[in-house]
Amino acid sequence: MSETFTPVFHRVRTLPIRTKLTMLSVLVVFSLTTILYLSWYRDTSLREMNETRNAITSMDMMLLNLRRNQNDFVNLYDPRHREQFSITFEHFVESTEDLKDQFWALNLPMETLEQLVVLTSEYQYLFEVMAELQTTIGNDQTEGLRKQLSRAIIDLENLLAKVPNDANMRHALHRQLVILQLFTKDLQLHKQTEDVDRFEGNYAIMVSDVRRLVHDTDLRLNLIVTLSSYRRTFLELARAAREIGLDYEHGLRGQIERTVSSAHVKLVRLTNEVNSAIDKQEQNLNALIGLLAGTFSVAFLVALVSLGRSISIPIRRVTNIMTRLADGDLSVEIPDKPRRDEIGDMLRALRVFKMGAIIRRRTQEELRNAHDELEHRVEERTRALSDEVQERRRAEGELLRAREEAETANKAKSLFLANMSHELRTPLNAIIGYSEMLQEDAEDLGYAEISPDLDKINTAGKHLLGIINEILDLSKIEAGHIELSVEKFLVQDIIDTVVGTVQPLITTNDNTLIVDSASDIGVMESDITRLRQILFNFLSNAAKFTESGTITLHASRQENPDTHVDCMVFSVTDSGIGLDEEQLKRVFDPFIQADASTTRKYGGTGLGLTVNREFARLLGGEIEASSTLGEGATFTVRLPAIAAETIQYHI
Amino acid sequence: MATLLLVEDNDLNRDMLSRRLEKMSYDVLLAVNGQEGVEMTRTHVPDLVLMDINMPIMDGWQAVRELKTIEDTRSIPVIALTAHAMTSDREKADEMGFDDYATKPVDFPALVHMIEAWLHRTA
Repeated sequence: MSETFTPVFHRVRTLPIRTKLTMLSVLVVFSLTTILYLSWYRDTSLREMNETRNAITSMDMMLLNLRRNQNDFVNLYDPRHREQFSITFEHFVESTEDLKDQFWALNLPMETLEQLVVLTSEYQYLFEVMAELQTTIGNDQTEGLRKQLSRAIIDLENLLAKVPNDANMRHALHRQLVILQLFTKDLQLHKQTEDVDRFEGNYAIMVSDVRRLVHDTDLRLNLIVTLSSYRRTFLELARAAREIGLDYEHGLRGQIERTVSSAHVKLVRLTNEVNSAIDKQEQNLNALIGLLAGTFSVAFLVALVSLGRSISIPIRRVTNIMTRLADGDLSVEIPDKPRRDEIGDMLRALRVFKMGAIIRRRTQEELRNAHDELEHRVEERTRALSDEVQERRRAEGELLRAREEAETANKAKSLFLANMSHELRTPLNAIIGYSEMLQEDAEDLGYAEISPDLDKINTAGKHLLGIINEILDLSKIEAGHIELSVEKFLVQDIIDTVVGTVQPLITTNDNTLIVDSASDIGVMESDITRLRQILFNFLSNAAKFTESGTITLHASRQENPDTHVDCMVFSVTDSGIGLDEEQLKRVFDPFIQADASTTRKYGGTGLGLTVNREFARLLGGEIEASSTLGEGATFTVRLPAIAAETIQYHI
Repeated sequence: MATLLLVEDNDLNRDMLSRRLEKMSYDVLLAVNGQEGVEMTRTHVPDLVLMDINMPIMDGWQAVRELKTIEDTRSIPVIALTAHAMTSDREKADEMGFDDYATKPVDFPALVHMIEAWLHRTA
């Protein structure tokens, strides 16, 4: 049995929490609804019962009214009271009928009510009988015994009036009459029946008095006859009255009284019955409600506690598992009975986590091993490397020291040379100057033949000055003492100056100079002196190595494709002897002209291109050379149109 | 003819230049350093002064400053003679007070041309 039960039980126990809460809520709602309904039901039924009780009470009141009406009727004999009685009585009967229905509906015993109905009928019957008798009796206004009596009295009085005027007689007779009237009145007032006997007595006396005293036979006869009829009527009235009952204990009135009493008692009993029914109903329903509330409370508490536990216990277990996993104990057991609630989800996640953790741990171990291995190898390598580095560093140190020494030596040399410039130039200037002066003197004094020799001295001096300048420039560049001065100038101006200066050299070898530059070539910003030097160098070289040829000076503005900087490009092309590959490679090297013979043949210091290339570079540009042996050469200088951005002052 | 004052410490240069100038029919006065140059300018008031820069006792910069400060000598043109030919030197010469500038070795005809221009300036 438990075999089949457990799975079901397990399924219920592992319903999602949400579902359990919903069920609990349904239970609460249902119970509360039931309780509310029962309360409402109780109140409604009690109210109905109360109404029934009230109905009974009003019936009691009706009974009182009936009694009053009936008494009024009897006492006053006003037919209106009889009507009133009937109406009230009808109401009473109706109420009884209603009560019957209510009792039926309330499932109350009908016995007492039946008895009441019976009493009611009795009452009606008795009342009718009494009413009839009362009608017979009547009153002074209506036809009836009393009226007859009144009339009889009047007749008697009339007759007595006819009696002859004997004061004594009339007086006595009147007195008798009055006594009879008194008795009659008493009787009407329902006093004791002894009055009847006393009446007879007095009546006899009156008759004898009449017989004795009245001498008129007719009168006497009338009187006696009238008295006799009066007596008859009186006796009839007495009988009727007696039957009705002279008090509340005798006769019909007595019976009625007893009947009404009984009815009242019945009504009281009915009230009690209804009361007890009310109480019972209230008690029952309250008990039911109480029981229901109690049961529900208990059930709710139980459900709540079990719900709480069904959440907290699994969660504690899950927490326990998680703690152990977190601590690193991967041997922890995760229950694998499938659950479909949130706990089940947690357990599934934990299972995955645990597997992941195991894999991770294994991977970590492998990694650690690999890491250790790697570290070991790295250590070995590092040791080897650091030895190497130390060795290198030592070599570097030596090199650095050597370089420093060389630099210092170089700087010292350059400085020496730069300082020497003044010392070198001064005697040279004297040679140049005096030779010129002597030439002038020679011509003035008529010794023109010695002028060429003097000219040779002058030329040699200038040549030497040129070499010295170039050497000094180069040494200044090496020492880093070069000074550049940048200014704006018209390109056309520099072209004109250079062309003007070089013209004699051009014509010397019978060459032609062509200048090719745009008229709007504009302005550039650079070191005008150095540029002049460069251009003069190119042109003088071209002139030197070309005979009867063409020398072209190109000038243009171009944009450097790599740096997008505006450049001025000057190139000098000649149709001279040109250079071969070897020469072209070494053309910018210092002190290397094409070869030694050309130096002697063509002059020049051999430093020009070297120095000028350095100047071009300092100004942010470059010098290039190209040539075809035997056909000519082209030397190009490219400088930024605005030198400020790329220039280096005083490096 | 005009009187020129040549202020030059190097005797060869001094000799060379003065003789060539005299051949051009100038009267040439000589001073060997800046100080002498200033004194002689004040005393002899030449028409033009040719001043070397690198000199002992007082160099050309100092001398020209003095000459341009003194009321009597201010108006005399002073031409600098120097081995340097940089724009910066030219600018410095201008700032210091030199009226003009010539480089050594001297281009003699050009120098004469310059002197003539200064002597016959309208001012």
